[in-house]
Amino acid sequence: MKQFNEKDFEQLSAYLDGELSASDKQKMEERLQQSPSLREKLHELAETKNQVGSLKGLQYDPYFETRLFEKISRKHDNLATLLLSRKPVIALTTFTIVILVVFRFNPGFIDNILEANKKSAAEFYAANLKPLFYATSLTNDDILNFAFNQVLPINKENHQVLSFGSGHSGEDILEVKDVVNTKTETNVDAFMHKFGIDAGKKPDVTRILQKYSDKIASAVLVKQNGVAVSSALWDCHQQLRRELLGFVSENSKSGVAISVRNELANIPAPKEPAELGEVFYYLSPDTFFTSQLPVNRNQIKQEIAEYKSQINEQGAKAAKTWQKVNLELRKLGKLNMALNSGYSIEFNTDSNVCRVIIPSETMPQKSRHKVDFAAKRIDSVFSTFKDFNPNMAIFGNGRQVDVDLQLHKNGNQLYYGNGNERLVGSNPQSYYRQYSAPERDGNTSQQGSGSRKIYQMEVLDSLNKIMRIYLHDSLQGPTPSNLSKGLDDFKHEMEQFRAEIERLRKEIKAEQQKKAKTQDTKNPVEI
Amino acid sequence: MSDNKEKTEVQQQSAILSLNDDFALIRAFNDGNESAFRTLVNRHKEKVRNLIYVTIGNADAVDDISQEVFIQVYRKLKFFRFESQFTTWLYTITVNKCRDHIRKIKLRSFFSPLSHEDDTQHPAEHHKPDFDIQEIVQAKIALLPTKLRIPLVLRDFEGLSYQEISETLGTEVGTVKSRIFRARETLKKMLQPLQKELL
Repeated sequence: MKQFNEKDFEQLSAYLDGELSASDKQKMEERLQQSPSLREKLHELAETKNQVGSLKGLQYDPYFETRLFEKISRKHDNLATLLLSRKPVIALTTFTIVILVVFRFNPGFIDNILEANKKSAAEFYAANLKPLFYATSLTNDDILNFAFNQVLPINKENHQVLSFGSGHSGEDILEVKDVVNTKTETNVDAFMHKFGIDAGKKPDVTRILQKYSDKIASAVLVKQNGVAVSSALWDCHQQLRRELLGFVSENSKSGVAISVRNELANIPAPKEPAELGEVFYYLSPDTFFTSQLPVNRNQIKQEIAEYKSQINEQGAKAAKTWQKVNLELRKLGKLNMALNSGYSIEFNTDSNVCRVIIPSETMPQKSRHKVDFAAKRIDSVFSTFKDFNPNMAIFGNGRQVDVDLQLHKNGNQLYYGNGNERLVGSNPQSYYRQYSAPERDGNTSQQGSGSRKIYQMEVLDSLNKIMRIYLHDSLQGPTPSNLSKGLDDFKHEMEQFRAEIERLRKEIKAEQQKKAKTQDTKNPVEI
Repeated sequence: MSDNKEKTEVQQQSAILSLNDDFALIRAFNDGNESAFRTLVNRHKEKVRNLIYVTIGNADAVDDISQEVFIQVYRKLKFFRFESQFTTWLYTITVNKCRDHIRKIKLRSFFSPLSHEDDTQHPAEHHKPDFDIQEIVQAKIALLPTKLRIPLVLRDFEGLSYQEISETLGTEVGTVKSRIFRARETLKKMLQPLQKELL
């Protein structure tokens, strides 16, 4: 019996289906006649075919079309609904693609959303912000203190001040401080006296200071429980300093004018605030943020004008103030804890100060003016003149003495102090009586029966700096011919002053040695 | 009585429709005649439903799948190119929908407990005393691999020629012939233990 392979059976199956060509069909029929096994196989295939073919179909469904056309009309009406309801993957994919496209062409998408939220929050906090005048009056002395010490009063009754500055890395520093009193350390008369400016020029100084009072008041906006400090305050501060330096250089009769003039010649004009844009730092017990607050400048101008007219009519004391700023440091301390959670701004609070350090990268680029070259140079000049701070506190014998650090000449005598308190003079005994004997190295020490702090070192340091300015810095630049004789005289006087100091030191040493010998005699060493 | 009346109506409709060919209906639909599509559905719905029923071996899903088939036809009919018979195109869509369904079932059963799979997928495996021969055969067809099952059903149930099956599935005629034979052989072996009952 001939064996059949699978191809033969495939042909047999096709024969069963009537799918063979006429010739193949004839061949297959011949083979079927000859082979009972092939016929058997055909029978099996036919049986299987019949079993499949005899399967009954489903019952007729009369409502099929009704359901179908209802579905079609529904889907036809809203294809998007079909896709979203039946194909969540399509929806998700579409969403992902949209997000990818958005981020590809608008990378700051999320930032913009955050910025928008920030803006709406800023609008909320910016409501009812008023110029600084509405919280406190600004005297000329306050403005001078602002120029010298970077401090502004925000609540004089509670002795609270706002201090500001810039760190070495360009960061901005804001402080709210509770101080002993808000009385200014600097005043206009002292300023003019120290820089050798005629008393008759006082109206000019006052005019400069008043010019900046409006700018300051519009750069520090206040409400009852919040303060918003504009980046323009830093610009305003630099401009005021520069203008004061310019005034000193033109009007000072002392040698310091030369030094200032030389410094100013090297400092480029600071940029105008208008070029730089404005950013506010807003601080309250609720929040701290930096933002471009939606402040109505025209309204603020109007409010300042109203305040000024009120002062003119009723005087500063009678002028109506709006509401006192009330920033409780204890509450700001709680804000500190909140800000520490992932906020890049450094926030330190203590019992009497709340300090916010805003890194330069946190600030918008356009407010980066605060660390430009001109600003740094002006700061540098001012740090030199810190030695002219007219009220240097000297503590001695348990009391504070405000010592005038101006050099005075009285006849043939040269002294460093004011008319009542001479720190250094031709009568060293009186000095000792008041302040005990200073150590040669200037360290704080205890002398005699009482505990006395001696600040000779500070005094001498100040002296050295003053001498450096007069004898060194002033000679760096071109010296006007009419001043050269005066400078020579001054140099001669300073040399005399130095000799006087040296003599004093020797006396002090001799006194100390004498005291030591006396003590040795009184307390012989036991063997 | 009502069943007989409905069947008579269907037969009458089919007789009328046989005068029109599918191409004319499609053209009419593409020209905006929505009722032409209704006629087209009426003409082919039973074939489609039964093809799905035998192919997937489960009556529950027939309605959803067959409606999906005709919705797709409705949406794609304007792209029909009149290069092949409408039924070939219709069966292609139907077979693809069946394949999608089978794929989903396999995926679902992969994550389902085995006991459930036994209950739902192979109902004929349980030898009930009052078993139905048709159910057994249908259950065994459902166990065939898809690539064997579909040509077998198209041939032996729907009566398509090898050429039509080849066009529907997009395969060679030789492949169709081979797969139909292998499907019959496999099915015969599956039904072997039950031959007594089947006879």
